[in-house]
Amino acid sequence: MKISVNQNPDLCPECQIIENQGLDEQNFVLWRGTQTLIILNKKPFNAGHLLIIPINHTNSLLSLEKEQKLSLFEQIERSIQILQVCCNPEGFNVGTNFGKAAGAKNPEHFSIEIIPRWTGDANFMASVARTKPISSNILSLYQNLKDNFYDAK
Amino acid sequence: MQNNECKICAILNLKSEILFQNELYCAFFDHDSLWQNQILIASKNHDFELNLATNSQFFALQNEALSFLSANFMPDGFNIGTTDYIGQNSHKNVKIIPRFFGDVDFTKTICQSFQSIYAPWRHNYVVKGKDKNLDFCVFCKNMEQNPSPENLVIGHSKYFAMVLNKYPYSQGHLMIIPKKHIQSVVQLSEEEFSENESMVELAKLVLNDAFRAAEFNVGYNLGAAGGAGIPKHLHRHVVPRYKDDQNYDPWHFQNNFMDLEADFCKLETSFRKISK
Repeated sequence: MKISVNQNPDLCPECQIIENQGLDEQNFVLWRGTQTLIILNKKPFNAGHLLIIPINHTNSLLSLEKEQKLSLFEQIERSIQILQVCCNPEGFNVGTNFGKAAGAKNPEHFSIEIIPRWTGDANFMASVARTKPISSNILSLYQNLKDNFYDAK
Repeated sequence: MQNNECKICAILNLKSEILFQNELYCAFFDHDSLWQNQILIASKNHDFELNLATNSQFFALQNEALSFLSANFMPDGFNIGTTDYIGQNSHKNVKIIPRFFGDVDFTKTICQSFQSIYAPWRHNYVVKGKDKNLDFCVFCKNMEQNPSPENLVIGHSKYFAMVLNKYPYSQGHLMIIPKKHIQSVVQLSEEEFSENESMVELAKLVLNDAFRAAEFNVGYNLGAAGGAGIPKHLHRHVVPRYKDDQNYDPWHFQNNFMDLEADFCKLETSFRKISK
């Protein structure tokens, strides 16, 4: 399924997702708000690994307005509630890497990662072979999460 | 024989790094790793051919490394594994990783570069839950039975059975399971260890014959902290890896369900052909 898109080379990968609303399905966009965008990670640690991206192209919390920071926090809370219902995990990792030195993939535009966790979710495949099998149908998970994001407010 | 670009050869030249060694193998801490206190055991010879006569030295060093790690770090479990391919001709090696409950925190999960392979058919296993409260061992039940699509036993050797995983990571994910109900690799005798190594080699040939697989992740998960689904009965995974399997596209992915019975029949035929 090829759709002609507005590939602006000046935009970072996150901003391209934000700009290209027509590609929301392929990009696994779960929810669009006025301040934030939530997507399902395509290379997840576990199924249900979400990214909350601020609409502003920024690498720092300092440059966000108060309501934008508030929106990020609200979306963290909501994502955790929805993942709890859809995936029933035993724990969560929530965090961000600011800057290349800290391991950020895109140091220009930060995102907050939410990872549902289970006991024993990293075995020899992760530790020896650096590989994570995704034990879920990611398309139906995407649909299910998306429905929940739009139902709950 | 040495190779200038080989990382293992380079470490062997720095004799100070070596923890233990014997005539053919040496063990050292792998500092490159994300995982603390990981030990790498590798053959000293760069051009190493798999040879069953050398298994006893490998067996001795692996047990020494496991007891060293147990005594010094008291881990809750272990991962023991290697990444192999058919026709491998450089250092035979294995990584031993001590594992603890809760050792995978956000520093490992967030933005860490793990490859992903797609296994949507495992959904039911995750959702419906593992048969954890059974009062019998799911492996012991099938160990002595003849191969059939119900028990997924592909074939036997004296001490081991080769079994197709009911919830495979990839097509043809096999397990080498000892017939006696043991929990850890240290409970294997030298003879059993050696037979286990040949069973893994046989499994690779079977997978190559049935599915043209040439690269494999081979390993043990010891203990619940090591990620074992069935920690009470030892099993060694042989996971075949296919070309570009980490570049999946869920929108075009065809095999949302795995036809285990068809896979079983292919593997069983290959096993009979090869072990003849």
